[in-house]
Amino acid sequence: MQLIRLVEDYSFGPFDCGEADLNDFLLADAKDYASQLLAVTYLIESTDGVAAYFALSNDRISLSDSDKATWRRIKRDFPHRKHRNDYPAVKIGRLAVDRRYQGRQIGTSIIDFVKKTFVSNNRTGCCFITVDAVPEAVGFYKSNGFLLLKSATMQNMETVPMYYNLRKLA
Amino acid sequence: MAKPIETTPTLKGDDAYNFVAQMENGSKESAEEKDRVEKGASFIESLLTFVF
Repeated sequence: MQLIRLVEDYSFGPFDCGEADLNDFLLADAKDYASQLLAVTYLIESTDGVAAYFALSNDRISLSDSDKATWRRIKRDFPHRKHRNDYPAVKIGRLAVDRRYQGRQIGTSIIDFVKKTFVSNNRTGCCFITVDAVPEAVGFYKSNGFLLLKSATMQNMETVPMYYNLRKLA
Repeated sequence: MAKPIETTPTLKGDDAYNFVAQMENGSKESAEEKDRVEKGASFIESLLTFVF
């Protein structure tokens, strides 16, 4: 296997992770995201096609500036720290493993790689990894240390925003 | 067409407060977890065909 960056003239082999949205993104949208500089997709290629892929883009975690009541609570309960209203982050826009390669910890290894890269080789400043997890993947991200960003019930939510604090590894 | 990749929505109210509280109270990963992450990352690094 090898890890390559998706380029415009790449010819896709078969890929099926079992989720239509994740298949569609790779096969129909990933090149457009790259050409528009919105997200970069990386492929783990095997001899029989794409074994896994992940797409990264810049993100941030922001706290509403106008929510004065919440800011008063934060400053009251955590007075010793200078608080920011936004933090730079990297978003895992998509992460998927082909059915033939599932169950081999490839997804977890990809997350480990993103964690390590942005802790030890952080070029621009980035303190969180974010992801919009489909409900079925929430357990997977929790097992990799991600926390929920919103407390609302997951029922009827298409995706669940989650984050990992890279300072835990620093 | 797949669902678009969007930036994370701005946090308000309890969500904003809980995020700050988790940051303040969060602990470092254990040595074992750091070692596990290192091993997982090394596997992907071994597949790299370019400088990431």
